[in-house]
Amino acid sequence: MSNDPWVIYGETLTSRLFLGTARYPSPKVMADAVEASGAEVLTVGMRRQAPSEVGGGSIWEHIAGLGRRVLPNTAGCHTAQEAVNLAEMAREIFDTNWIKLEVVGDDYNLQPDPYALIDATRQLIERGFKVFPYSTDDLVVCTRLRDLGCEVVMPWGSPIGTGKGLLNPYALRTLRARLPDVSLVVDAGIGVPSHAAKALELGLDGVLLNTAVARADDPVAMAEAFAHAVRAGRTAYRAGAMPESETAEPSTPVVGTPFWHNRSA
Amino acid sequence: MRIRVNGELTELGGLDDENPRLDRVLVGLGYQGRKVAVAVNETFVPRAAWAERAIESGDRLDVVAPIQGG
Repeated sequence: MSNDPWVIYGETLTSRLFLGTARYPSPKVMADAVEASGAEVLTVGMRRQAPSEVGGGSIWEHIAGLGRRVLPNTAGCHTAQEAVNLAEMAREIFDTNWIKLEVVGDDYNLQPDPYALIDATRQLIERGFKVFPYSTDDLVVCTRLRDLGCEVVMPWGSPIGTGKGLLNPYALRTLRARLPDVSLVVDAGIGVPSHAAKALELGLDGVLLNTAVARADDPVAMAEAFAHAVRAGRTAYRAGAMPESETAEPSTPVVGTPFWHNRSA
Repeated sequence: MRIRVNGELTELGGLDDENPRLDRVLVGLGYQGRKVAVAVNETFVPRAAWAERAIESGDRLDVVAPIQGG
């Protein structure tokens, strides 16, 4: 069970946990949490900055120092055009063609806009990007993203930062069944390690989370807990779960039970 | 000449050209040698094109840098 490489866009990963770099109490805690999580891929962002904010001592210097692969996001974009331009900026700044594509369709729950997502994905793939689209769990939208050339699709578990876990396990199971060759990463909504374990047990390939670790009382310990949960969930999926039953079945053999009387006789 | 830099109206001083090039504008703003990416009027301008790109009055510059993210 140990040999279980995960190849996405030609890169072989051993950890199935992608970790965000925002909202930690300090850069030191972030660095220790990354270490404890075992994450090989870290998400990063971009924002308008004055010259004095760029460079020495910035949070980016700390992230770069961790030596992990980065996955830049297009957080905050509301149109395909904004997202495509921000992705181009990310490719130049971070020197990677990986992009976590986010296009917000609703500000209340930060729900992805499926139409803009598909439009932006098409443009970015034409421009040579390896797209990681943050999507709803809609089967048809995710299928279209696959058809456009995405090797990875990232359905939400629940809205960003809510920690509500997997609101629709049926949809995620359906995605797994219908898109067997796509790497499915549950992105957003993971609150506790059991949510992550559940996602992997369902057969999804990985999870992306941030707040669940960064806003824990002890982010480093929580990062370690998530590392265990993701490994447990993946191992359980590969082990194959028992069939569920509506009625009890004794696990101890019934034949030879002492004190047995045929009460109905 | 006035442009918008990251949403703020900014007076460009010390540039003798009528339409200075983007690389000189960025130096004037203090971004020399910084790890940034730039869009002019909401369209990405690759670093390799900065020396060619003329900036006009009223242009909107977005200068972004890496930060933490989820």
